[in-house]
Amino acid sequence: MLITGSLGQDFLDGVHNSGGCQSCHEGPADGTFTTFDEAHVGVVRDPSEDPSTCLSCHQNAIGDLKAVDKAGYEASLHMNLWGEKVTIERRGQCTFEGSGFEAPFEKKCAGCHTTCGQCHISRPKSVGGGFPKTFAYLSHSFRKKPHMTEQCTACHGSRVGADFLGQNEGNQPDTHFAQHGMQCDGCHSAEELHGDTQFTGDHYTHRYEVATMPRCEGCHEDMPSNDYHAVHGNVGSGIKLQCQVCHSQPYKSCSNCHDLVDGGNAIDPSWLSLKIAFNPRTDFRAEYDYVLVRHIPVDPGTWDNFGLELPGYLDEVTWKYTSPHNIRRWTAQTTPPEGGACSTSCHDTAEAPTGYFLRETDLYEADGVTRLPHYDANIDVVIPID
Amino acid sequence: MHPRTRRRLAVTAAATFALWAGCAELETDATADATGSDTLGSPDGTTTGLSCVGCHTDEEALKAVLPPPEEPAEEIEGTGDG
Repeated sequence: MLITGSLGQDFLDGVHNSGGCQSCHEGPADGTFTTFDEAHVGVVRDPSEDPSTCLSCHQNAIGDLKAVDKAGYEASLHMNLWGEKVTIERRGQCTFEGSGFEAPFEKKCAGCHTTCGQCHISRPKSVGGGFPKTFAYLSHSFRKKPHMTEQCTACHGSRVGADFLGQNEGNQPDTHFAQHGMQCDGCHSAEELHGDTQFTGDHYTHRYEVATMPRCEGCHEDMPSNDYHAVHGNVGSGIKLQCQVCHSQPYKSCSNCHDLVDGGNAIDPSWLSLKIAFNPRTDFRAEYDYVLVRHIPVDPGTWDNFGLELPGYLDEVTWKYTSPHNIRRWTAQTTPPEGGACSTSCHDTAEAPTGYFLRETDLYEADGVTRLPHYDANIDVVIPID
Repeated sequence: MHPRTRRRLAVTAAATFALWAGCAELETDATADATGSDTLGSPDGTTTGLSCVGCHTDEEALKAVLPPPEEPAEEIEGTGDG
């Protein structure tokens, strides 16, 4: 936590230090301590855990900084992890508050709950905190735009970050990054991430519900005119594809997330694949008939140690709607053999009837006979063989 | 290293640093400024104790009191769609 360099000096000379360290971090006044312990009595490591610390000023527009919607932020997914909690409620058939699971969740699952400071100043606590340092040491600088690798993908790294930066074997980085120099903020607005108030009820329950979430059509409103867009781009056609079905590269899927055993987890390695299924989330993406799905099945016994059973485990698909951040114009799906149509590289490949499509066979163990525990949860989204 | 041992070393290092820096009584002619630098003023021009910025802008001072970094935990892939 060293305040140094030109950026450290800028902070010391700037408005955020006008009241001294203690104005945010509390603790004893300068000149009243002589030891490490005395200096840190009552010090608040992350003052922005209390939203009012920053919102007291930033709920109003300041210079070129737009106002942060206080109500939106206090109900936001980033701050509250509603997505995780709502899934627990659905599978646990309980209400999260009052379930008795709040403390274990806070200890075990809420590591990626974030605060203003963990996006705009320091590295997230879930990855050890401290000030970001890549090439340049960013010190205690307050940055409007979070650092892509030290902050955004510090949490969103194993899937989104790896996809976007082309870190998965055999894949190229996302074209938005590699060819167009865009980072996370190129698509994800401050309004979306701080939290908007366009939810129904008390808060959003899933990130795909967020009204201000980026959509491909937001920039690519006029798709190039070709046969493939004509056939697969029309709502109501019965074969409208999510954009990523054609333009994504293979991405990670898993088999047994949080499979608790004595001494920790016994999680099998993830693997790269691309699977197309019927849209399991017509509640928030009703326009797509076929979408990409990612296998991310939390183990049914994940919370046995905390006394939380999951009677509704099979109420949720484990092949979940996904939008991989590894977009390319030309992918294996859109690169047919010479002279061939795209169908020959997608649904008419030699590998079909399996290959890209989620089939019933994907819901069985390797022996082909034993159904996987989540068979019933997913059978409605598999694509039957004609 | 056991966390308690690490903590004892840190406290000892802090105390040693305090003795080395003569923190019980620092004398300077400088006056305090709004940034809370360690050049704190008092009516007679002398200063006592430390300041946040005095340590947190001094790499050697921080190293003297902070425990060594822990070994990174075994990497486990996250399971959210993040």
